Amino acid sequence: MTAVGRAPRLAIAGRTAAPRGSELAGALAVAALAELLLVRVGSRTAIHIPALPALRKPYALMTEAGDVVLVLAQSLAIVTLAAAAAEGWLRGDWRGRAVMALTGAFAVAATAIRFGWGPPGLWQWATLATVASLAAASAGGRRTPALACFTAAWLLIGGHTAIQSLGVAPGEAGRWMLWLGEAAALAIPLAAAVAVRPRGRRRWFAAGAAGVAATAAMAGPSGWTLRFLTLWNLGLAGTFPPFAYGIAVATGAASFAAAPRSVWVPVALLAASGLGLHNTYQSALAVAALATLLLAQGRRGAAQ
Amino acid sequence: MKGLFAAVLQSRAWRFWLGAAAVLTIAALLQWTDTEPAETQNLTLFAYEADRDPGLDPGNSVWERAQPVQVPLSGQAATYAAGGGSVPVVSVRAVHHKGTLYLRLEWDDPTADTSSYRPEDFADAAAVEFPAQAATTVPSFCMGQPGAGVNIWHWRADSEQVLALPTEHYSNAVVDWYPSTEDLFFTARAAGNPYALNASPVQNLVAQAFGTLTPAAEQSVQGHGVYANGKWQVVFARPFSTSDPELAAFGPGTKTDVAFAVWDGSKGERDGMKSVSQFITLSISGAPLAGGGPEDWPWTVAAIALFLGLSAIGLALGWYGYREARMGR
Repeated sequence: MTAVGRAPRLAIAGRTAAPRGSELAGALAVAALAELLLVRVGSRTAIHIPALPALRKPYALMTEAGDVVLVLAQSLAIVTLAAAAAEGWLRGDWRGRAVMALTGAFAVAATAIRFGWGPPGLWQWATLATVASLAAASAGGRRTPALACFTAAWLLIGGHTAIQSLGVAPGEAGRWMLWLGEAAALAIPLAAAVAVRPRGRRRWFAAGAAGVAATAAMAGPSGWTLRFLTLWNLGLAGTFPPFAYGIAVATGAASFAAAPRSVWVPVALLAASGLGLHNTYQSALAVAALATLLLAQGRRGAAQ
Repeated sequence: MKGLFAAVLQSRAWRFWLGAAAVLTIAALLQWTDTEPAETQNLTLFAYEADRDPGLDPGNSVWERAQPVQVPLSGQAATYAAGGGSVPVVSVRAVHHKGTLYLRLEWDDPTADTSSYRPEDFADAAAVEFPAQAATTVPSFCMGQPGAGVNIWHWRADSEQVLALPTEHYSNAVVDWYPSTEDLFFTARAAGNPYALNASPVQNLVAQAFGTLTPAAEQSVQGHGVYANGKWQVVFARPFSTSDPELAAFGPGTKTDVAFAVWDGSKGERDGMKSVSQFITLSISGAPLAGGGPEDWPWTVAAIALFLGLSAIGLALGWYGYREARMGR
């Protein structure tokens, strides 16, 4: 919005449309991916290496580094969400107000869960709705199918947890929720590929190689370990045939490389957050990703 | 104020220094106060205080008033012997009464496998895993890790059965009369093997990684399983207090992690071949167990209203953005 009597800011061709807090979001993405590698993947799997007694020192170093990175990532998540809310408040347009209100709602939910105010189920539903609302608000144009798949996966996988807090035993429907949630999650990279339309033989060749490697890894002896890791970190149980994950990896890699750089940070944050309800830190990563996406979209719209 | 704030945020240098200062201050505060800002949002199993003792009977009416949690299971595949995964889900309820924690596990199983007498037979079984109270961090749910051990309660269907005579399984078998009944001639019993002592159908075990599973010094866990209508229902019970740091600690107003495992003997499942869950949260409340029915309906209504309200806002925002994008085209 432009104040009366003040010259409107001129859009500069080629200038990045990233929101003002994007540096913080970028730092959060780096810290969250480092935490994912060191804590949720590295230290959780390394403890089962038979030769660990001989590797005790590197393992201790890795867990120490993981602890530091986790504290840093959590601090960055708090500041990034505050910065996103502040920017939304300053912007004053509908996207800004949506970011301010929804990050505020998430902050209330996360604080309430932390201090045990009210039943956890209430705040689980609030978290689900906050993420779904931010994703819906970020939709528009060709990104809509990918965001719709993401929202469906989040609601189905997270809903399986939250529905039980209402005293409902999901039974057979619960198994379908998890299965459909995983199907929606695997559809995200396909929808993203349709949106960004990756071109170039070399790009597709590299993505295809990544897909073949992923299929082989899921089908091979390490497949069960990978399924554990996808369950821990992405909320996916790995119930589909290995080639489904290979296709998802291939299309995901090709789409990521072809996507505008302004969405790299949100995508990295969503990868680190996983799908569904794990803990308030991982939910904060999803909220920060979607808030960054929504604010970037608004700035690009304003610049245009 | 808004103008000043906007002016400060307009400057990239100010944004950098303010952001860095805020992050480092929060990180330092978290470290110095040893505060964990994040909280789990995973499944939570609540154990409320029952007004009467549910005992070891899985059919006790107290259990009908406890809210179940459906925990997804998957095949154990982190180490050999790997396998399992035939039981997709276990339903768990928890209560406590006069300082004793009770858990009831229930799962579908078309066959009751209660004997492991023949080499080719394996019994149905279930286990519950908690972090040891001495654990400095949340242990790996795969049997714990060095420095963060786990306490496991393991129930086997065959341990509740009277040992069959060999002739029941092998009609041509002949067994010599054996006069001695002293422990000296029953070596497992003499060595203190809790399974041979058969004091309880539940073994209390501790571990700090794969291959380190061993009986705990204190065998204080009781249990009982009943098979009916294609379902197993197994109750585990243990007093809250324990002096052994390798065992789990409980108390009203405390939370801990808990994971579950189930074996289907007819599918050849034993040892590491089992269906396992991740850790979920066990919250032991000092509040009394409700009398049955949806006493929490105000919270349920509030949760649904909050979800629907926020979702409606999200849908409206999505529709608004969609229209804006179409008009801008």
